[in-house]
Amino acid sequence: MWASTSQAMALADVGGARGGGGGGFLAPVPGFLPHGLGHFPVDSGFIERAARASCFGSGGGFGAADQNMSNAFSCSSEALLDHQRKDGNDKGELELGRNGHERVPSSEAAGGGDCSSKGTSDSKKRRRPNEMKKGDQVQSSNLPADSANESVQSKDKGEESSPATTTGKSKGKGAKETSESQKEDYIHVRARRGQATNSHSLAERLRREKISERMKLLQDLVPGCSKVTGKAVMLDEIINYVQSLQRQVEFLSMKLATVNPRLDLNIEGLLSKDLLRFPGVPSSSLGFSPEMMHPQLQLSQPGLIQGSAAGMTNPDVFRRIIQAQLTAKDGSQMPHALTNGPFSDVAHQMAYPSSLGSQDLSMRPSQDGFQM
Amino acid sequence: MHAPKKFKKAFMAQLLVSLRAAGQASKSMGLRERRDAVRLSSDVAMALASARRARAPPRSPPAWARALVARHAAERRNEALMRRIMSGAGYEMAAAAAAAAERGRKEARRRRIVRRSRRVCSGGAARKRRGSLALTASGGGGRCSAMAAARRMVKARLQVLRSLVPGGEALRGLSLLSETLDYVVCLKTQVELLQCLCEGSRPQLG
Repeated sequence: MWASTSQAMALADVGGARGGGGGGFLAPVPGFLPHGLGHFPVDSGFIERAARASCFGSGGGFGAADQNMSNAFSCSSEALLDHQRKDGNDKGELELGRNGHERVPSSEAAGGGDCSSKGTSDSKKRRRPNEMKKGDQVQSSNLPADSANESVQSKDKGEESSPATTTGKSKGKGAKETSESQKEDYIHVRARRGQATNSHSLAERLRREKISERMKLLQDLVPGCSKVTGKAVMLDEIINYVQSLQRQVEFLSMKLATVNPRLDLNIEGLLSKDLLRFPGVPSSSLGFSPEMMHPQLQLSQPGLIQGSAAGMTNPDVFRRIIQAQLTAKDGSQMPHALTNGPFSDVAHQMAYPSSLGSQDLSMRPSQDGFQM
Repeated sequence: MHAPKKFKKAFMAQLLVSLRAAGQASKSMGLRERRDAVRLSSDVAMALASARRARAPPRSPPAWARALVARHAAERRNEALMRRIMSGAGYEMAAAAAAAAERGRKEARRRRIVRRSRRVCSGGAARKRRGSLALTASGGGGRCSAMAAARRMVKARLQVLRSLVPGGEALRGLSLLSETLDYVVCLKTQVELLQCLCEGSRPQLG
């Protein structure tokens, strides 16, 4: 089965041009594909990419293929990092979704990331750029691959990588695996030379790399973890941090309970003090138009709103959201998020502040830990 | 730092709603009850906000969210408050999740006992063989036992982490770490928001 696929690749390669000939390939190649490969979705994009990758691969240009793919998904990986670190970047998330069939760049990222990470070890020169690219990409590209997929991936990878390794570690094969992994949702792992190529150890190595990348993320998250290395100590720090956060939550809730004995929060008072953080790009035009758009605000001081500085813009929006939520809660049934219920109105209003200035307000210095 | 703005806002909104609901309920609560009510409402708010955020780019809501809500739902006296916050049907789901979690916990415990017994039986024989091989191969017994000790430490700490993170008993390895990641982010936001609320309502005293 793999041999015939390689024949198809060779045909595509021979077929000619690298990039643009995708449509031209479509006619002859599917005729040559045997029935066993019926489950590969053959379309022009696949053929084109396979052709491109195999052309790269045959010439020993696996690094070139890496660069090509890395350009393609470095932006998406950045997007993912942005989503993780800063505000939500939905496009980045969509690109790195799990479904490999529609969102092709996503599994390309997943497959390519792993292929580049496991890369060839034949030449040290080629490995170093792989290693350099490995850090961000493996982190970011492996993140969206949820652990729910893990068993499927490891199993499939086990059965797919062993025939691949038996047929030889040619770079063409590696590239083909990359291109195919764009269509299937597998993560193909290239075996390094001189290391065990059982399916077990490959799966284990993949798991270990995922675990190490998660630990790296946790390292960034937990303060004071950057110096320690090694799983045990870091886990210790993480445990301490989680415990201290939980204790802090308890303490703060007790404090809140003592501070206002009746738990009536005086929402307008809160918002007028502007203690809650908001994106800090006010614009007076935006500030006043939402006021006019929603006359049913239950605020009793329009004079206050007009007289206030533009810095009150976002609290107004927020206030509107709160009011809407409260009225919705009292009147109709509030949609509950756990059941994926329709959440149109509040979601719509939530989307509104995102359209306002996207500048990140300088956060209060994170008063971490131990202020008790 | 990780948490996007929208999440914080959603969380805060939800928190205010649930606190308001809690406030309606608490006529004669003692301090401890009030503190528990606050904590409950903030936890529920956290779970709901995180589930909502997980829905926007389509992913599955984190496992700890359900487990957290289920844990709160399992206590009977929280029932009224939770019903009010989560609007009835949501509460039913939480109760179902609580039952499922209970069953899952029992199964996990059973499975672990079986696994441990099996390992003890076969591990004695296999370890001798493997241990001798490894000793001769590496030439140093100290190294092997150090690695084994490290692995044991890591295992012990993972166990502790599992007990900390809600719904973590059923998780293994990679999923545990990702759940921890999410949970830590949400805990941080929770702490920040509670601090905001405290600051906000403090000057009312004087």
